[in-house]
Amino acid sequence: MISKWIMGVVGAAVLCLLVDLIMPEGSTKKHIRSIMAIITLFIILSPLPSLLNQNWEIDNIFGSNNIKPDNRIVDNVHTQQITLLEESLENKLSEDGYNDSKVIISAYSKENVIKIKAVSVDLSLCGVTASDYEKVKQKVQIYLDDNNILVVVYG
Amino acid sequence: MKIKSYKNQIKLLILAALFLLIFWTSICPCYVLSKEMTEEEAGQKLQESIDEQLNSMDFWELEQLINSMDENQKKIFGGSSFLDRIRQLLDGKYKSNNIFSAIFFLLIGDITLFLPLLATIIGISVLCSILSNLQFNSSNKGVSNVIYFACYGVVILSVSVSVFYLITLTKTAVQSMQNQINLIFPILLGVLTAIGGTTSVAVYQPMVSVLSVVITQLMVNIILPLFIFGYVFNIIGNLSSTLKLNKFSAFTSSLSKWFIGIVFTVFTAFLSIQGITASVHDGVSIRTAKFAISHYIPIIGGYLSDGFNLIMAGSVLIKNAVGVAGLFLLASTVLAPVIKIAIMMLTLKLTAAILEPLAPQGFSDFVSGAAKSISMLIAIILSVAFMYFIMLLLVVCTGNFIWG
Repeated sequence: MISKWIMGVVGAAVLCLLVDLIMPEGSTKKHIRSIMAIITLFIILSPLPSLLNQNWEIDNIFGSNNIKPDNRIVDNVHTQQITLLEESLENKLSEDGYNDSKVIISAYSKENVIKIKAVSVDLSLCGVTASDYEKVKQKVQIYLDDNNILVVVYG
Repeated sequence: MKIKSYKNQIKLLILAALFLLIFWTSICPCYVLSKEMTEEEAGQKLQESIDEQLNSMDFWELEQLINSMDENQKKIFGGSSFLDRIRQLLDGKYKSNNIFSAIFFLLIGDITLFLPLLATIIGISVLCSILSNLQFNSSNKGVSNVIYFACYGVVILSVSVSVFYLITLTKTAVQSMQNQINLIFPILLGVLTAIGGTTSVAVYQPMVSVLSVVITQLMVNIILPLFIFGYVFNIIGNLSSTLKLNKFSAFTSSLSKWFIGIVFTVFTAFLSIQGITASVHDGVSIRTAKFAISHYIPIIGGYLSDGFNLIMAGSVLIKNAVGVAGLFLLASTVLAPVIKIAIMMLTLKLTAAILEPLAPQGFSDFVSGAAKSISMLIAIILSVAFMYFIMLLLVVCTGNFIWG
């Protein structure tokens, strides 16, 4: 559409030049020159009515929004943070005397905030009796300061 | 008597026990603190965190992009792999001694590329003026007109070949920048989200989409054709001395300049104001929120908060390294075309200056008009590059909050 317009203008200009070249001097030349000027003007202005009558759709101009943050990176960082929390819980429990405990935290992240669902503590390498399970469970609940988290102690 | 001394002994024992208790507690007052991190352990943990985060990022398409660049561009970038460059930047090495030699070689290469063009144009114009002065029948202007048109046609051809080559260069540069924006910003926005700057991400995401989709479409679909119109009208206007189209070329060039200026100003103003206020808001909200975990974990203390700080520090370092690597990539994409176009512009101006006394008026006007309109191409590339640069700068400078 645009290149056709350009070709039209170029063609009109070349025709004007031909007229200039071929015609001998005289009043005929002047008349034809003015007519060619008016024709060139019309050709230059020809696409304007079709441009003005179109309905501009804004949605077509603003394409699709496809740049989103990469969620794998966010998930990776959250995984690292949860691993860190598990390690620090294990350290705290070993300070309390339960060495070699293994803590596994299951959590989900929603809108960039981690919510802990459940904690499972594996005391099989500690050599403790079943009566300690209640104590460990209460300790973990005190450390995490949230009574809604499900704590499972086994071993 | 024995019972009394027994009581005294007990009292002594109790007193001694009290003393020992006070003595002990005053020497080691560590009750609630848990295990702290040593310095080398912290450094090692930081490196592990950074490596783990880098493994989760996908750099494959960026590597493809870099592989498709030529030698000089790779020198400006500073390496031949995006991941290597990031690791170099994380270690703190900003290699800049290769850049100047690369730019120098680019300059020399382009000058030798455009000198034949210069020689061709001058040779043909001189030929035209000599031929038209040597006409056998001085009253017949037709022959000299025909000679003028023939030589003018050859000059148009040789200049247009170079100009259209520069147009394709501009188009590929702008599209390459669009590609880079689409590849780098998901990584940067992802790290920014992981740090906790959700307001900043909410601000930057639509602006990046606008830049990547709307503005590049504008440049390639509207401003580039406007430049082509101006150039074509320049050609036609100098074909003969009676038909002049100078004002048309002036109209298209000033229209393009206004367009680029308005888009640039509006975009930059919006972006800077929103970006800075969003980053301040994020800094405040993170200092009050402390952790990404939904509630505060009170007792665990030093090890945990140090560890969180290290993960956060690793993320911030990676974000800055990716941002700066993106800047280097941008520089290597943009410098080569801009230098070529600038050298072409200077060559054409030199040609016009040489042609003015030697050849008929039309040649010199055409060449100098072409030189003036080529500056529009540089404006297109540099405005898109500058907007991208400002976005990268804002993302690198916001989100540097590490609480401690």
